[in-house]
This record gives sequence, C-alpha cells and structure tokens, in this order.
Amino acid sequence: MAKTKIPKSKQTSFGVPKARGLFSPQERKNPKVKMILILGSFVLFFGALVSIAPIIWMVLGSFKTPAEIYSVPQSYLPQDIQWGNYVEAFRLVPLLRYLLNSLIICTGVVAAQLLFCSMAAYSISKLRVKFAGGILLLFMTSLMVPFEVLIIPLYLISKNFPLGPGFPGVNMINTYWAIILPAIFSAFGILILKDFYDSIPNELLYAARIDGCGEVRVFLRFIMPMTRPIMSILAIFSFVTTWNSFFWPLVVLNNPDYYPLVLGVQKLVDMGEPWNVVLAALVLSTLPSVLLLMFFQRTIIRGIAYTGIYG
Amino acid sequence: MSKAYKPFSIYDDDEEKKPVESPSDLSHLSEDNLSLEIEDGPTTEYVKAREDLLKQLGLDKADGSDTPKSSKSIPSETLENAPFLQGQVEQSVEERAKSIIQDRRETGKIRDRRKIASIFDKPIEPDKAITPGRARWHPLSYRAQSFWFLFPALILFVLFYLYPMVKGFQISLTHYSPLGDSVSVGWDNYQRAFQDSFFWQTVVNAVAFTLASIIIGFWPPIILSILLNEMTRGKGLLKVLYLLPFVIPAVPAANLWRWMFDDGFGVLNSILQWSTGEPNLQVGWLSDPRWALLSIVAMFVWKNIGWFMLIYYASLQNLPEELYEAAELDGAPITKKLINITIPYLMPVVQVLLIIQVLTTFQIFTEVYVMTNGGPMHSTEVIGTYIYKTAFGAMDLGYASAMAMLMFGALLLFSVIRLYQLKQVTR
Repeated sequence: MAKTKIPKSKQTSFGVPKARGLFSPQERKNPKVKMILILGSFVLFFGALVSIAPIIWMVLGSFKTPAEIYSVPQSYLPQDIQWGNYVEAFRLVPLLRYLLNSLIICTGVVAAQLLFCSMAAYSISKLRVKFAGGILLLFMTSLMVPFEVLIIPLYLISKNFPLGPGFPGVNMINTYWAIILPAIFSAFGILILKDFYDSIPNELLYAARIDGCGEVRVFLRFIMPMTRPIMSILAIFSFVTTWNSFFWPLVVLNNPDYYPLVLGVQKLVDMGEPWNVVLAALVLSTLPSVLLLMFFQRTIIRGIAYTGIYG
Repeated sequence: MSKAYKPFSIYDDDEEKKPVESPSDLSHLSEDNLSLEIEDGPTTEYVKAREDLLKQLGLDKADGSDTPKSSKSIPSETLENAPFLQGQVEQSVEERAKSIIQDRRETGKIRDRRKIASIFDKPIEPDKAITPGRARWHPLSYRAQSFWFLFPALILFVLFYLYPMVKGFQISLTHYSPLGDSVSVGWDNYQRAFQDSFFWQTVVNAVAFTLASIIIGFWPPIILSILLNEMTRGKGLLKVLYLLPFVIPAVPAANLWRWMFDDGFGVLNSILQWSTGEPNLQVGWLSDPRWALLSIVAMFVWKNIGWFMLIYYASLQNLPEELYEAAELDGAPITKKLINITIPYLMPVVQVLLIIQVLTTFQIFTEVYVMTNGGPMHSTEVIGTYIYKTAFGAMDLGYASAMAMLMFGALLLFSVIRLYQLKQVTR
C-alpha cells in the first residue's frame, strides 16, 4: 500500500498534520467571525509592533547625534546617519576582544555540554547504569536551586579550585575556566536527551554491538548522528543562555581582558558615555542574537515547541 | 530443629512439582510418612493432634520420642481396644492423624505457613542469568562502561551543584571573613535576616514583582497564541517578531528600556505628552518609587511574552481537531468550544508556565541590576540584588548566604511542584 503523503502545506516540522484552529471552515464564512479574525490579526500585528518597536527605536537612536538624542520633542528619524557612534564605541572599549571572549566561552560550554550531557543521558537511558532513576532525580534537583544560593560558594570554589589531594588550589578568577566549568552541567539537557534516547529502539544498538562495535563507537557513530536534531536544539539553547549570562561573569571577572560581550557593554554603559554611543554598543551586542534568530529560526522555534512541555 | 525460612513455589502442595533445592532436601521424600508434608519436622499442629490422639489411646507415655519418624507403628491389638475406634474402619494412627490434619486444613483451621509464604515470594525469573558469584567490579570491564559514561556529568554535578549547596549552608552559619578566620555563629545570620527591614523589603518587592508580572503578563500570551493559531498567513514572521525580545540578551534590553523610561528625554514620556496634550507631564518611570517596580515588570513582560506565546502555540498545534469537529456536530457555539475545549487543553501548560514564572521572577537579577540597581529608596530592591550587594559589596558572605538559603526555602514549594511536573512529563 502506498504511503499517503501529507502535502507540504499541511506539514509542521514534525511531519504531523497541522491542527486546525477554533473556527470551522463554515464558521469562517460568517461575516461576524470574519470581523473577529480581522480584529485578531490587528491585535497580533500590534503586539508584534510593540515587541520590535523598542529594538527599532534603539537602532534609530544609535545613528543620531547627541543633540537629536537629547532633544525634548523627540526627533524620530536621524537627520543623517552617524556611523561615528559605532566607531566611538569601538574606540572606547575593545568590543572585538569582548566578542572573541564571548565566542570562546560559548564554544567551550556548548561543546562540553553536548558531549557530557549526551554521554550521561546515554548511560542512563541505554546502558542501564545502576540507580539510573535515582541519579536522574538527583540531577533534576539541581533545577530547583536558585542561582543566588550557588553564587557565593561557587565564587569561593573558583577562587581556590581543588585539583585534588596534595595539590595547591588554583585561582580561577579572571579566567575562561571560571565561567565555562560551572555552566557545562545541565540537568535540563540530560533530561531532554534521555527522553529522546528512550525513543530509539534498542535493536539498532544490538545490531551495532553484534557487528563488533564497542559502546564508545556505538555512541559516536550511531547515537550522535541519530540525535542531531535534538542536539542542534540543545546547542542553540545553551549558546543563547551562555551568551546572555551576566550575573556570574559579573561576579567572577574583574579583568576587562576576559569580559564577554554583554559584560563589556555594561561596563561601557557604566562609564557614563552619551546615549548615542551607548546605543551603538547595545546594537552591536544585540546583533549576534538577532542573526542567530534569523539563521536558525526554524530550529529555535521547533526547540521551544519541543522543550515547551519541559519549560 | 531450626525453622529457617525456605522459599516455596506456588506448587506447594503438589509434591512432584516442588523445586528441589539441594540433595539434603531429598531425604524426606523417600520416607513414607507424614514428614513428606512437613519441611522442618513436625509442625505444632501435628504434634498437638498426635498427642491428643495418643492421650485418647492411653499411649502418651508409651513412646519417648514424639517425632513421627521415630514413632513405631502401634500394635493392632491396642488399636482394637481403643474406645473411639470401636466399630470403625481399620486405620493406622498415622493415617488417622493425617486425615485429621487434612480435614482441618481444608476447613481452614490450620493456617498453612507455606501457603502464605508462597504469596509473598517473588517468582523465579526464567531468563535470569546464573552466575557463580558476584563478579568483582573492575574499572576496565565491559560493565563499568556505563559508569564511565556517566562520570563527567556526575563530577560536574557534585563539584558545581551539590558541594556548593552544602558549602553555602556552611557559610550561612558563619561570620565569613575573606582573609581566613571565619567564626561560626550558629543561626545568628538567619535571625539577623528576620530582623533586617531591608530584607523584608526585598521579599515584599519580590512578591509584588511576581504578582504584577502574573497579572500583567500571564494572560496575553494565551490570547495571542489562540489568535495566532487562527491566522492563515504571516505566522512565521509573527513568531520571529514576537521571539526577538526573548532572544536578545537581558543587558542591552534593560539598558534600552532604561533609556526609553528616562524622565527627561525618554520616548515613553514623549508619547504620554503627545497623547494627553500636556507638554509638562512627566512620569518618573524609574525615578519614582511608586512606578519603578512596575516599569521593570513591563520590561520583563515585554521580553518574555513571545516565549510563552510560542509554548502555548505549540501546545495548540497538538490539539486533535476531532474534538472541535465533535463539538461542531453537536452544534456548539464558538464560545463553548473555546471554554470547553481550547482552555482545558491548555491548562497543563498554564500550570507549568505559572510555576516557571514564579520561579524566574523571584530569581530576577540582571534586569533590576541594570535598570535601577535597587532603585529609588530600595523600592525595586529584589533578593538577587540585595544578596549581590551584601556578598560582593560589603563582603558579608555569611549573611548573604543565609539570605540565599531563606530564599531557597521560600521557593522550595514551587521548586518541588516544578520537579513533580517535570517527572510526570519524563515518564
């Protein structure tokens, strides 16, 4: 029997037929319902406008002269575009250096988190490690702890990081390690990956093992490629979280050479520069996230839909 | 005689199917007497019945031993003299005792310990591997791999979650000094927190923030998601536009709003003046203690609305259309469909997101730190900023830790609900 193909227009990213809305096709022809729908779309577009208006306002502001910015009847469009604001922002603080720092930190966190979390999830889900359920529950308790509780002991630990018995403690303050290491473990990631692995049939792995694969090779050659969609979701989420993180870097870094972009921009703001320069820096720090959303919007939206039930 | 517990199968009374444990158990099988039925020698019931019988026969002192194995068959002449056997069928004492026990067992007077035991026994799994003994754990063995796969995550968890938790509690019980000598002060820090009016102010602010953000920001995503689900085109663009504030970092977003909230040259005051027509109207969005907290709430709602909306929307996508169709066949109007199908279908997500919102708003730090840093007259001081100031401004780590622990305790109820919800989803 031929497989019935779902038309492209009816597909979501999961290949499940799209759900219909509240109104039936018959009801949609009703003029009253039509009015409601038009009104609803206006509400939606107004909401979208409210969402992006501040961002557009920020971009406009970053091109204004100081006189325009501080004029009391607002000048809405910049008279002529001031690229000098951006040049000034780059001159005041080493934004490229901050960008590089952010990239190093995010790459380290994402790579390590994907590797270690998927290894742990594989062990819990497929290798049936002892006390798997208990260990998962233990990991999940880390989601309960507010960061404010951890920040003081974490600060002391990074000040005097124990390498092992017999070694002197290492001071990790003002290093990338202080930010990367605490961010690697993610109970949320382990949970999602474990659920995903549970849906992979064991027979596939048996087949690989019979063919002589060790567990490491099964993991690298089968599990990793098979779970690419969920891995990409997790990678983007952990990237965005790390990129946006502010509290912990603020505590643990005080050498400007190691500032991530977000912290560096905040330091520029704290210097008390005029708003047009500050806004230029803000635009620059927003740009990577906007680009990320543009290029990976499908993955991000799918990820939110997939992880939504987890929250 | 030892009465050690032995496992019994469910075929307890059927001698043939009884699992044989060891050759020593075979011995009683060969004996053609009562011990066939009884594992560990005579049960008390049997002994009692036999003693009664012997008493009636007047033979209770005749034989020194009271075990059935050593009892010899009773001479037939004595049996004939027994008063209660007169005119009855010939039956040996053993058979008689056996039948009495059988009768009692059938009428339920004897509680068979073995039958009870067999209920609680675990059935033996047929495919369970038979191993000669417990294998010694070896780090390079095949079985140890599952542990090594888990190992890095476990180490990171212990080092960066479990150990800090314990250490944080330890610190909260001391008067911590960064140079070394920290003095243990017991529960003093906690007492101090309860007497600290600033701390209570932060708690009140946090509760107010949470309530305000729920009242202002919790229902719009639900309505927007239902509307978005009705749209036939433009969904992709709308989703991206709504998500944009969520994706950008909190620091530029908060700074941007700080600029827009400015008293003198902020755009919001300009809009207010333009719409009301009063050129001198100025609202101190962030400088007026009455408005400052609400302004931050507005920024928070703006940032998170798209995220919540997309989660609701994803949930609506999974709503089976048969529900709507069934309702339409019954002639249900739109409002009924909305109230009885759509809203109940969203309820589990609403519960989850409500808990998440409470947890995130209580832990808010960046937005407040950037926009007001505690604000005019502590009107926007939340727990996060107060802990930060106490710990890294005043370097009073012990007191800050105690406040963090109190916060953890206050949020515990919500975190446990959250954990429970997660556990349900995972199953």
